[in-house]
Amino acid sequence: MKMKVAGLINLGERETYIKELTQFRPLATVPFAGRYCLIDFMLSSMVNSDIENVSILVKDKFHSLNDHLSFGKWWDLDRKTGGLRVLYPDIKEETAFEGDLQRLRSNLLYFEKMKVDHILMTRSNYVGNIDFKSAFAIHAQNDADITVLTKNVKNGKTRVDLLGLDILMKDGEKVYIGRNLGNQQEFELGIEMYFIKKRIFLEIVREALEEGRESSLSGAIKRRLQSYKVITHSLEEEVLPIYSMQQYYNASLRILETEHAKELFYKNGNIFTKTKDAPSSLYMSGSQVKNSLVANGCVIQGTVENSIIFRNVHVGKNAVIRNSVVFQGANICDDAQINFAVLDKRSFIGNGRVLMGDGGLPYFVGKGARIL
Amino acid sequence: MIKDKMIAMLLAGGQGARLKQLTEKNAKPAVHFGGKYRIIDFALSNCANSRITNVGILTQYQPLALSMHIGIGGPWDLNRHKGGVEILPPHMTTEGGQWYDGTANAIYENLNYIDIQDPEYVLILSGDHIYKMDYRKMLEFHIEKEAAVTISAITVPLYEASRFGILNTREDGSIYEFEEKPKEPKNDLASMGVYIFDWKILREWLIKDHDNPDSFHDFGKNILPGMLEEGRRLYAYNYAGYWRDVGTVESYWQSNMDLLDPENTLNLFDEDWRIYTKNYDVPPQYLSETCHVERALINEGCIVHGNIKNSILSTSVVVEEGAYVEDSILLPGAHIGKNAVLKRVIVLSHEDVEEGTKLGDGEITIFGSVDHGLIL
Repeated sequence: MKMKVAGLINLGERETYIKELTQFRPLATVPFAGRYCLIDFMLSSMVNSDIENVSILVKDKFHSLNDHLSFGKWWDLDRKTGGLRVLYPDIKEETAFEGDLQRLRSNLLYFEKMKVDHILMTRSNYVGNIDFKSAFAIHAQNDADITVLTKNVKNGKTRVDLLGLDILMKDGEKVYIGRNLGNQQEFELGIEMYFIKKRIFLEIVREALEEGRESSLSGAIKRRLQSYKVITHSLEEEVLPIYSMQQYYNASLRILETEHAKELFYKNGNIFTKTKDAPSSLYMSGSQVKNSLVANGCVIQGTVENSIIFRNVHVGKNAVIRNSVVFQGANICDDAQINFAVLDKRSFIGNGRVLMGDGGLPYFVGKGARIL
Repeated sequence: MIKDKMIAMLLAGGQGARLKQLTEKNAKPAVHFGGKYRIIDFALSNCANSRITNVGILTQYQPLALSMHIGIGGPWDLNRHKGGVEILPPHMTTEGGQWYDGTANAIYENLNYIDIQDPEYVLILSGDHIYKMDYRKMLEFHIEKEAAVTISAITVPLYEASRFGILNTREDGSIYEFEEKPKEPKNDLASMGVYIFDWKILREWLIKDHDNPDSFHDFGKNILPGMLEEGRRLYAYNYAGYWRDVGTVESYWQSNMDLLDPENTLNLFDEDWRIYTKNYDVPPQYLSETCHVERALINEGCIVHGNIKNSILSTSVVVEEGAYVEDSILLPGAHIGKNAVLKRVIVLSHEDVEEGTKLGDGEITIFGSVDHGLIL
């Protein structure tokens, strides 16, 4: 039996603190973990949880997204029944670019016709390998109108990286979503994932559009939580929000922890992504690679430590890369030294150049940049 | 355009018995090669890169892993409405049925398939060889020479020539004699088992050959010498580049080892001639704090804690701490336990080499009783 749930991944997340990586791409397609994009984790989690109908509500920077999604073929979502659907804003509507609520408007009929009873609404920028099947079972057993998924945090006061994110508040039976200001030590972090009865989803969207005061879909739902039967469910899986460069960098290097990597890549099924057909990676005499994740297609002559190396990266003789994330197609020439850096796609670092960031703030090299 | 003129028929039914445990339960074309590939990927990718969009694949021996690998041909852009890939196994007819009996018979049994495509030329390939080749250039040569058959040929050392079908040619490339595995070869030009035929001529010959009770129904033994005798124009197309028939355990091992040389002429890294294969959706390889890797080709999904020298690690291989792997090929899913020492070993897929095991005594050793060729 397949789940009676359709996924809705709502892009257009806040990109203020990760501008470097989102200049040419939405957060959804920010490269991650050597061969993936952020959205792969959400798409794969859904598909591995038998959700066969996924819509992506897009905002801007379509090029990178289209290139990656390829009609959903990598996730077995190129289907006649269900499958992947990208919901574009309707450019005929004057209000189309105001907010996601308006962007959704021209697609409401699609949701009405969809033969599912529930919608799983999420973002693209939370990294995790999530078992939505178990979460949905709780939603269904309780006959909830809305189930708010959360993630327990035990050391909230020291987690600077979680400031400003959603936090679950309760007043008796009533559920609220507030904002984490770092005052609580233990709390349930809101991870912007909701199971909603389709009927309720449409009701909320219509009402909010009618009133005309709101532009945010998640805002509209959050504000109406008290009017419905709402339950919460705290996920066991690791779920890492990526809203800032710091979060991105930390989440990237965490993959080097074996247990975390095992969960992220295998626990509830494999993570699917677009294939690039690169050969295996070649390690030449003199290469020294320690505690690093290396994708295919690389040719490595130098030293790589504590780093994430994407596909088709060349590391020259005596070059040293430490504590860094190097995107696809970068060319690190002989004797270059790179420490605490994030290098975007196809960057070129010339012979003997030295790039040093700091653990607190990685040095960033833009897409296609050439440092000669 | 080549697309409509020429189709490919890929012979993939052979056993390759000299590959021992590698092919006991798996067809030779489906044997893992070079970390992420199978042998047939080279011929299929050559088709894809030569823009041949009609490929019939003749299977017979142990076809499970092979059929699963090919599927509907997606990795080679052969999942098409028009043309695409077709797996052609032996079949029953009202007159009974039989296994494919010789290379020419295999094609004969699929006359219908080729007739439906209605090509001008038929490219006969073997799924057994490691090489990169633009079949379009060979077709141009074939047309220019107004040949009935063009045979792709490569220069081999004279002392090895008796292992091959040898072409004795005139200066313009025309063939005057064809010797199958001659004891005393007169020439060093070996057939690569890649033929372009004019379909009309081949069609006639296949029928004629089928009716001949003395024939072995083999291209090398019967069809080609027969055509030559008949006075048809046979030409040798000189191919220069990497080409290996990985027919023995030694040649299989050596051809894998060739990939460790960054200057090797096969050059898998050439982005203009990618070798395509099925993808298994596993994460990048992880090399741990304790590993030491020197000269190695390592594929996705591997986890390496141990020491690797001059070796090939296929998909999702795990090498535990303290293990030492040298001059070896580890096939998909192999697990090498702590402190195991391997020298010149081929570890079959999903085999577990237990902690502390010592393997390899100079000769190439195959570890594991049988390889089903499946990636789990």
